[in-house]
Amino acid sequence: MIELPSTDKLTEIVAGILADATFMFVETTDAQDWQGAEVLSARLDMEHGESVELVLRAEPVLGPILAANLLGTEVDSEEARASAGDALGELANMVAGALAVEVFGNEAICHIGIPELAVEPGLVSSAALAAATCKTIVLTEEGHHLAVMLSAGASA
Amino acid sequence: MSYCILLVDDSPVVRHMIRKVIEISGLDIGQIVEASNGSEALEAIEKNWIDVVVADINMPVMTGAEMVKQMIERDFMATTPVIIVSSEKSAKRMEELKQLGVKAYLNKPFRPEQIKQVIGEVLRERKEAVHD
Repeated sequence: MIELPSTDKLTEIVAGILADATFMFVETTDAQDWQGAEVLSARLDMEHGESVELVLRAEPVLGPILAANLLGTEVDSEEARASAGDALGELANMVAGALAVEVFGNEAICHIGIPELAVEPGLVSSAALAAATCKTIVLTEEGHHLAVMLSAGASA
Repeated sequence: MSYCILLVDDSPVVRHMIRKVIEISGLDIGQIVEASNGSEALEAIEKNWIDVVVADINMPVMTGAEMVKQMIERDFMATTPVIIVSSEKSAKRMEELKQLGVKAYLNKPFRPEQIKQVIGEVLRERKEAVHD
């Protein structure tokens, strides 16, 4: 069974990418603190013999903030609103790139999938939280929540 | 002499980010063409004179690595320089692309000055090669 990085390592990776790519400086919080009505999600798989699923779930308000910071535009601009999902997908892609080396090693050519974007019910799945192989962190940026879930899947 | 750059990424946000960096870079860029996957990129190279291709790896339809392999097989594209901008950090992947002739490899997230510097260097090489 594949060994997933610790939640501390996951936090370090995601926080570092958010700081570098979007100048957003996040804090960790408890998953139970967040029960939003709906979320914007980006989901992708990383495969190298075995597969790992990465899911990012953000409060909808965070999407335009991410897009605005990536694009260097205003949060309330049409451009930022229109790019909200794509921005979360790109964040997932960057996180997956860093995680792939952490999980599969520097010498592996890992297949990183294309992010699937959706609007979903807000609660982090209790089944996912209960799964032994799932690592979940919840980060906040000025009170807005972003959950990052990493789980080992079946052999590819 | 103005240059033409082809941006290849399935993410409009990333294409927009790189386009902005190029537009304020001071480089003598006449045209920026965009494609959302390797297949569209090959079509764009057939229709336009492209001085440098800036491409992602993981894209639907055709990946950046497959695009580079196809460019090598088509004589008139074989010498067009390619810069890869990707979130992939595997040393083995970078070595594979280097062996295919990729000129430079930048990791996402990138700093704007990195994009400017790498494109500038590749265009200078391109200019010298065209004049030789």
